[in-house]
Amino acid sequence: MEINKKTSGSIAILQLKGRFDAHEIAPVTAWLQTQIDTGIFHVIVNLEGVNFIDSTALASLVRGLKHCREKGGDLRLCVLQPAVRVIFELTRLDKAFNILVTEEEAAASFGIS
Amino acid sequence: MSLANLVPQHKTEFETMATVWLQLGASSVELLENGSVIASYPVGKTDLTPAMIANDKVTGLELHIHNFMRSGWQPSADLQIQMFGQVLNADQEMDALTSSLVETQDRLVALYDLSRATRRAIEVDDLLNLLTVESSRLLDADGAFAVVYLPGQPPIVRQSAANPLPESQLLAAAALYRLDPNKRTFKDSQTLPTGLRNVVMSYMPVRDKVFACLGVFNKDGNFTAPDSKLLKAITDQAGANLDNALLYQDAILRVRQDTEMDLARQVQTSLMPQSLPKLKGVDIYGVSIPALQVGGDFFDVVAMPNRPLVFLMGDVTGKGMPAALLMSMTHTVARSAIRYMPFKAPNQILERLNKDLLDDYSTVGMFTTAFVGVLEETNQRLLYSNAGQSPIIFIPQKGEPLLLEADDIPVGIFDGHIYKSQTLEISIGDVLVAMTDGFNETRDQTGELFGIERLKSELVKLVHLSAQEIATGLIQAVSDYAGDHPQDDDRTLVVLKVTS
Repeated sequence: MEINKKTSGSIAILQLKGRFDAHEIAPVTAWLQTQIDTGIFHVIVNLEGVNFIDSTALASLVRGLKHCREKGGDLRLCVLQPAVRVIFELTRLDKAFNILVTEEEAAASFGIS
Repeated sequence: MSLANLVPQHKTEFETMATVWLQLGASSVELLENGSVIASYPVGKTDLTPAMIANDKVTGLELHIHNFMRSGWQPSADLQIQMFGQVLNADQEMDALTSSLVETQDRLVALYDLSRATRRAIEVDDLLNLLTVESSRLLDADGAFAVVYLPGQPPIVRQSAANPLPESQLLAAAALYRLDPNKRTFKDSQTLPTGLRNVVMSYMPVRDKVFACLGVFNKDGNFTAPDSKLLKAITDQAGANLDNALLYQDAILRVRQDTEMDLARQVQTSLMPQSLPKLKGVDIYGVSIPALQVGGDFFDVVAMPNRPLVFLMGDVTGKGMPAALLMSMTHTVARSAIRYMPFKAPNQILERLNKDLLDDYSTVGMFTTAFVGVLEETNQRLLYSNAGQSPIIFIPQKGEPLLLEADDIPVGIFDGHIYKSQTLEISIGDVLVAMTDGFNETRDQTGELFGIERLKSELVKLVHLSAQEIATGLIQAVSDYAGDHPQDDDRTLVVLKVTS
């Protein structure tokens, strides 16, 4: 899976591409941990390029979500492919996460510069 | 060549030579090397009187025969000194060869000792440490290092040196060498990473896709051709040992993984209900088919006197031991809650689970989907609460199958989450099948998913059968679909059919 990291002000953004499953979570978990460790609690994970997601990958996102919210921030998702959206809907995790249509919207939704 | 200390044998030979000249009338004879006297006969007598001089250009030796007046003896003198020079030369070469032979013998013994020791080292680390210590010692250098490149892993670096160098320099040297393994000794100091004055390298022949090399560095003076040959001898042997050590490492890992998988499977299967209650008017059947690496599925059916029938199923995220352990905790808490908690609706069970297990799930960063169904005693209404579990399919005897969508997030995510219960009216002949996603996510040879639509149509075909027959039929259908594709997730289902 391809991983692209960037920052926009005090928001950290992770762009993923490919199959997001149990074998691919290590770098994502590590990156999420780094954000928390360095005091960044506003995180966006862009799943536009992700064509498959399994429960372990979902769990890693959930974990990131909880950590960010504990610190007063949030982990927001943007751009779900239909196959991935279905998974979120079936598990009702679409209710747990704030999911936005574009990366720009996600960034703007934080309301910080 | 310096003969300043002539061995006694040569001294005697010189004296024999000199005696002849003295008998012929000379007063003394001197032997010189490059202008300096190294022997004289009679001993100790320095003579300044004129002499007949014979010299040997090859060795720089000179014979000075003092006070010798006879003519015609120059050729003899010349021949004599030449032959004497040759003898001395030959002796010296012999000495050099002998000490070289002794040195080689020593190295052979050391090499033999090393090969015995390396054969005993089955761990990669032990082997590399032994090799670096011994090769730096045998080559009489400051230090040695080993680098092993394994596919998909960062390279292994081990070093043994009086003055160790940073690993980055060693990796750089190994990388340079790897580009051209024929170039064993780096002579151009500009190409060497800092800290390495001189280095000799050799690769250890191991399996395909693995590159391993040994380097010895910083010797006073320089590494010689014999040093290079010795290192090659060491690495040729070491290659076989390293291969073994790597195989051993792989084997240990595999055994560990297999054992873990076995244990996890035992844990999970032992918790499955051993028998199912037989109830009036309700046909219920449940079964779980674990994958080779278990995936945390669980189910249970609880029938108690004067209580409605409760059944549940769930799927913990992840695989193997962690999933199996969390699953066993979840199952225990759930069963306990069902038996001993006074509850009216299934959402309360899920809230209980969430409350009791949130900390554990959060700590390991996992969660579980779950479905709890409560069949009211009239057998006409099912209360259920669905925390992210899918697919749950309701097949009325007459009508279209319906996917009961989850209304809530999985258990183990948010503290104090309020779950909801829903109701479903059921009639005689209707069937409810609760499954984990191992069914719809089964792939065939082409990689296509079985999918929920196919599940629905299969179940419609089976709806008139008993609960067990429906379960067996569906499992068979999915298994046939998969063909040779191995089962990569657990398949668990509970079938509920109202008969009266």
